[in-house]
Amino acid sequence: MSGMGWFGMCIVLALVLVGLLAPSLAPYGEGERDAAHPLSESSETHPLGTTEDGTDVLSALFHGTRVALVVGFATVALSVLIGTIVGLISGYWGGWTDEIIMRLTEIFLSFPGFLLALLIVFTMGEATMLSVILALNVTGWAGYARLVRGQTLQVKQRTFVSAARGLGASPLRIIGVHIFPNVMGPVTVQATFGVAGAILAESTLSFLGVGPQNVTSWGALLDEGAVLFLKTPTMALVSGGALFLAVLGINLLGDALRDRLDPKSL
Amino acid sequence: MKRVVRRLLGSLISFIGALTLVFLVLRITPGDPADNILGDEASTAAKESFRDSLHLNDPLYVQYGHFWKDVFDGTLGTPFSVSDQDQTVSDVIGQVLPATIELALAAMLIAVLIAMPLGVMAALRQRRLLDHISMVAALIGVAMPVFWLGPMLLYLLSVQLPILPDPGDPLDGPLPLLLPALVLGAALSGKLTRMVRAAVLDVLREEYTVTARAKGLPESRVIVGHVLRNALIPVLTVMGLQLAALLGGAIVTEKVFARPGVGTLLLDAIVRRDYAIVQGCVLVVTMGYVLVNLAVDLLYMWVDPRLKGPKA
Repeated sequence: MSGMGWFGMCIVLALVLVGLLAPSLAPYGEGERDAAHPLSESSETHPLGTTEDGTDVLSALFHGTRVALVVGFATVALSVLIGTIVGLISGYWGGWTDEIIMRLTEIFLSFPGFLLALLIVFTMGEATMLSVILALNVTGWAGYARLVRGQTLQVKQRTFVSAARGLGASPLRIIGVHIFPNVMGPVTVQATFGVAGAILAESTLSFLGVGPQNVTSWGALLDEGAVLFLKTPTMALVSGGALFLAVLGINLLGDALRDRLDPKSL
Repeated sequence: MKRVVRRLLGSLISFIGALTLVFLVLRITPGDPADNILGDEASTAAKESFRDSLHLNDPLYVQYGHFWKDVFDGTLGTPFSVSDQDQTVSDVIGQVLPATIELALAAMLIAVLIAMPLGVMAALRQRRLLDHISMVAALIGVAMPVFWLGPMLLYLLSVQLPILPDPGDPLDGPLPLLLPALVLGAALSGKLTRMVRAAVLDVLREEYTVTARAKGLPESRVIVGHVLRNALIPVLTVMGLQLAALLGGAIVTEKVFARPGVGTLLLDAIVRRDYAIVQGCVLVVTMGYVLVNLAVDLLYMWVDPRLKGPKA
């Protein structure tokens, strides 16, 4: 793996560690407020200062890492699961099944997914992490379905699949044992970029004020920080920086994975 | 010709499907939409008028009919929270739509102006210093959230190097368009630069490029006449697909710069819980997205004769 790939891997590992250890790393608990010191500058008790309602910025940053990672990974996991199943069925059976499934998939792909997610989150009332994950999945699966279908069509033609069929393997066995492992490379690569996309989408929703409520999000911190940027730039700098670093690290890792697992694509 | 008709039909299906999806969002989310959207504190009368205006008490197929009627007569429904009762949702959106289109076009232009030279140069100097610099710059562009770049740029320009008037003062001249477009365009250019580089690298390996060089064409003609012309095709498609990112980014950028547009209208409507306008904004953007991608595909067929398929 290239140096850039390792760098990306280190960033991602560091973020996962921070996310896992957030409750013990953060000096203050989630939702804890120091009402006596709102909007304070950097001090011994609050290394990065506090927000308008007295939330410790450093703690918010740590708790936000957790939210970003959970939404990022859970969204993509669900999308990959749905997309892989749909894509395998569509690609393996072909014919009318394929035609209908792919027409439907295209409808979901012809949609600016972020906007639909915004509409769904708004319609569901007060957003939670779960509703954001579900909303991002409404269109999220479609890209994976199309990818898996394309890969399945290719793998289906290979000799080992005909051989398995000749030996009397059931369709389920052919799909599960012979096709599935061979389509997972490109899916892993796309999923990696997908995590970055989902993290960015969650932060954007939070920045716009419709993200998950009652949890700390980088996007919400950035929203408050952007308004107060001229007074205290720290808040926006660190929350935006965390988001930037996460997306950058995941993209570097994705590039490296693509070179290894999916050398044919761009 | 057959291919064009097929593509048009595909777009029509996507269009109907996407709009149906928007229709279904309100109807299949769990719970009572009136409670979800207006909140528990809203009065019973307000909730009742919400249900009435969206015909939520009718059977689903009647609601669906009303939905399409609003689309076809071009009104997109009646807003809840606008005092002027004669205004339709499309009137309200129509007032701010030009501003958003202007921003999107300017941002796309800036993104192309950054990405084309950078991507082409990176490809021509593959694995050399210039390539590495451009790719790092592109990666930063990919990872840089618009809503971080925007405030930082404002801070830099109005506080650190006071080129701009005092923060808080309204901008004038070309700045209200230029600054947001710059931020949005820079964010967009990252992915585009990578695409341009990859496309040019692909074409450089093609046999016709080798042939063009072998027959002694000057390098500039090889690059402009053979490489760029062919590399443009995949780049065009990506630009169409990038439009989704552009529209999402425009909402955020409008918020960062407090610039009027569909994005600010949408966010404002969310705060006022005006479902009709929120839905209207999503519908308008979706229609635009489907239409632009259709246009890109048709353009693509025109640029690349291979895609027209067998002669009709």
